[in-house]
Amino acid sequence: MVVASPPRPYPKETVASCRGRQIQGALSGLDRGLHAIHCRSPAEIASATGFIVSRLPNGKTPGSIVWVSHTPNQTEAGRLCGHGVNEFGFSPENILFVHPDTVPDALWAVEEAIENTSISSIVAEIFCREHLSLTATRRISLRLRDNPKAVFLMVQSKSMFSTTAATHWRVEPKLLGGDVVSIGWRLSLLKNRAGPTGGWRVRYRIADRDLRFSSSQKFKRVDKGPLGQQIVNHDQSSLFPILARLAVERRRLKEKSLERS
Amino acid sequence: MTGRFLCVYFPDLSLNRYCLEAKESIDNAVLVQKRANAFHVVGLGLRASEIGLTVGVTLSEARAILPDLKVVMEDCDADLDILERLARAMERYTPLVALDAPDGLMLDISGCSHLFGGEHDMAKNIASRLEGWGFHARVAVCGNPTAARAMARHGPGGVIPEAQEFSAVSPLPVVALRLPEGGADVLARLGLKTVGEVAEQPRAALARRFGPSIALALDRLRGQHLEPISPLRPAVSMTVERRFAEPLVSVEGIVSVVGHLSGQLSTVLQTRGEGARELRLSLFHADGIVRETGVGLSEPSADPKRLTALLSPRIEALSSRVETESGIDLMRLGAPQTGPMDAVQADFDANANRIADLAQLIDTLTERLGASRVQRIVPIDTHQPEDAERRVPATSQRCGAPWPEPKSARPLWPRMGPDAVPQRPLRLFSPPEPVEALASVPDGPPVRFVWRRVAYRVATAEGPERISQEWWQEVDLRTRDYFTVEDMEGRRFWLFREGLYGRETNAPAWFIHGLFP
Repeated sequence: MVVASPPRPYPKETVASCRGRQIQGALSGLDRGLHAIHCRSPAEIASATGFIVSRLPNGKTPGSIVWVSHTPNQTEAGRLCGHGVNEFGFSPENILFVHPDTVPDALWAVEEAIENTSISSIVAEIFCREHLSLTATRRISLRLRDNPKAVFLMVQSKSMFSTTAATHWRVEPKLLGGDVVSIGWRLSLLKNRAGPTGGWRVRYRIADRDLRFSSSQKFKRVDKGPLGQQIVNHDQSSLFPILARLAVERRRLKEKSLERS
Repeated sequence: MTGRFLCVYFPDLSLNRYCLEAKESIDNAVLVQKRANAFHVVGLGLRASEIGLTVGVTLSEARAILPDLKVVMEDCDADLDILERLARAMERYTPLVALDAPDGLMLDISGCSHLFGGEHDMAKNIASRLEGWGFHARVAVCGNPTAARAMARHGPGGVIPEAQEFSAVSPLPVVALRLPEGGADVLARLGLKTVGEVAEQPRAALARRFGPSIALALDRLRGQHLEPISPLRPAVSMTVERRFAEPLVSVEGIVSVVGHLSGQLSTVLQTRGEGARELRLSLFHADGIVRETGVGLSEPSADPKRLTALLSPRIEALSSRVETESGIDLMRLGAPQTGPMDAVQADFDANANRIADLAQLIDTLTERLGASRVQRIVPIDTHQPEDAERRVPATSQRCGAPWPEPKSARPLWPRMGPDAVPQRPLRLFSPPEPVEALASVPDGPPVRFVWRRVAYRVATAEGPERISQEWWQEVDLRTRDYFTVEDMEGRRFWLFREGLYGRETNAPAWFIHGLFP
C-alpha cells in the first residue's frame, strides 16, 4: 500500500540568503565571457580595478593575464601599482601590461590576447567611448566564442553605451564603518544576459579573496538635488519631473522676492 | 691570395644627384663651390666641358663663356647621403661595403665574384647598373684597396690581375699616392710626374724628404701593407636571399617569398642549433632604393611560421610604396642576432609550449606597439613609492630574472600576511597631483580637500606613514607624510603632505598619489 507522503515544506529561505545566492550566481559567470564595467569617475575606476583583480584567477603562471591600459586612462585614474596589486592578494608578475595610445590599438591587443592559448584572462581599461562601438565588442565576443576566457572591459564614460557583453557592472565605493581588513563596494549589475539584474552591498576580504553579500537591503542611489536636498531614486530618468518642478519652485520664489522689493 | 677589392668612383656624383632630384638635364650644369668669397666651378656637365670650360674658373668667367649655364651649388651632406644609399644598394654584391668619401665606394669582393660570372662581369654589371640608376661610375678591381682606389680615381679603371697592381698604377700621376697637402706639387717640381718615377727613387731619401707617409703609400700600392677598410656594418653570417629575373611588384608575392626565405633561414639556424633574436629583411628595388625592415624577438626562434608572421605586417605597411615604385629584384633575409636554442619535445612539456605561446604574443604586440608599450613589472628595493617598481619591456631578459620563469621558487614580490591591510594603493598617479587640503592641525591628516575642482570631506584618516628622502641620492626630495583617507562616500585616497612643517617648509604642499579600491 502506498501512503501518500505529506508535501515537503519549502526550505526556509531568508531574503538575505536568497539575495546572497543571486549575487553568487552573477559572480560565477565572470570566469568566462565578455563583461563590461562602467565607470564614471576615477574613484569608480579604482573600485572597479579592485573588483576585477578580486575576480582574476590567482595561479602561479606568470604572464597569464594581459592588462591593456589605454594611456589616457592612466592620466585620468593613475596606473596600476605593482605593490598595491601584491598587497591586494594578486601576484603582479602574472600580468603582462600593454599600453596602447589609441582605442583601436587597445581593442586589437585584446583580440590578439584572446587568440593566444597562454592567456587566461584579459582586462582592458579604455578611456573614452567614441570608438567603442557595438561592432568592436561584437568582434571580441565572436573571438571569445572559439576561445573561452574572461575579458573585462573597463570603460570610463559619462553615459551608458551598448555592448555585446554578457554583463554590465558598476562598482562604487562604500563606507564600511570600523572594518579595516575588508573593503566595501556597492555592486550594480546593470545588465545580465543570464539572470536578473540587481544591486548589492558587498564586502571583500583580501586575505581569503572572499566577496560576500553584506546587506539584505537593495540600496538606493542617493543624488543631490539642485537645492542641496537628497533625492532618493532608482532611476535617473525619473529625476526629470522633479527637476522641472524644482525649477518652477525656484522661479516662483524669485518672483516673490522681486515683488517684496 | 689576400683578397680582392672593387672601388667605384663617381666623377660627377653631385651633378648626377642633382639630375636625379631635379629631373633636369645636367648638360649645361656646372657645380660651384664658395671659396674665399667667390664661386668657383668644381664640376662640369657634358656640354660645359665640350665648350671648353675647365674646373677652377670662377662662376662669372664660366657665365661669360656659356651664358645659359645652370648653376648647382655643392652640398656635401646630400652627397654623403646619396653615397650611403648607393652603398646600401651595393650590398647586393657583397656584405662588406665601405664608404670612400667623398665620392667613392670600396667593396670587399673576396669570394663573391664567381656569383656574378667572374670579376670582369661583376665590374661590368656594377657599372651598367649604376649607369641605369643615373650615376656615371668608374670601376676598378685590384688585389689591394689602395691600388683599386688609384685605378678608379686616377686611372682608366678595369680589372687588374693579381700581382700586376703596381705595374698598372705606375703610369698614374703622383696624386694617386694621396700625399699630404702640397706633396704632389713638390714632386712635380722635382720632375717626378708618375707613381713609377717616384718608386724608382731611393726609399730612404724619399722618406727623409717627404716623411714616412710616402713610403707607406708605395707599400700599400704594392700590396705589402694592406690598408684597412671599415664596412658600414658587419657581415651577417646567417643570410638567405632570392633574386628575381623580373622585378616583383605585388605584396602577396613578397609575403610568399618571405615565407620561403624564412623556411630556408630556419633550416640554416636549426642545423646550428640556434634561433633568431633579430631579423633583418632587405628589399633591393630595381631602381637602386633599398628598404630595410627589422624585427626583434623576445626569445630565440627558428619557427618559419613565426618568423613570417612577424615580418608580414611590416611588408604590408610598405605595400603602397612597393606597388607604386619599381619592383624588387632581390630580397635578403638575415638574422644579425642569434641565440642558442634547446630542442623541446613540444607535446610533453605543456609549460614550454605555454612560454613559447606567450613569447609569440609578446612579439606580436611589441611589433605593432613598440617595446616600451608591452611591459612587465619588477619590484625595486626602495621606500620611495614612485621608484618602488619598474616597468621593463617584456622582451628584455636583462632586468632581474628571466620572465616568465614559473619554476623559480623565490618570490619576486614580498608575501603578505593573512590579516595585512594594504598600505599601497591599487592605482598610482605618476606624477602625484596637487590638491588643496585643509588640516585641523599642521601635522595632522586633512579634514577636507579639493582635487580636480571637487571637494571631498574626510570621514576617516590613517597615518602618517613618513617616507624620508634617500640621502644618498642626488635629488632633493622633501620628507613626505602619507595618509590613507576615506571620504564620506567611501572613496579611499592616498594623500601626502610634502615637507616637514616648521623644519623643511612653512607652507607644506598636499598631493594625491593614489587611489585605493
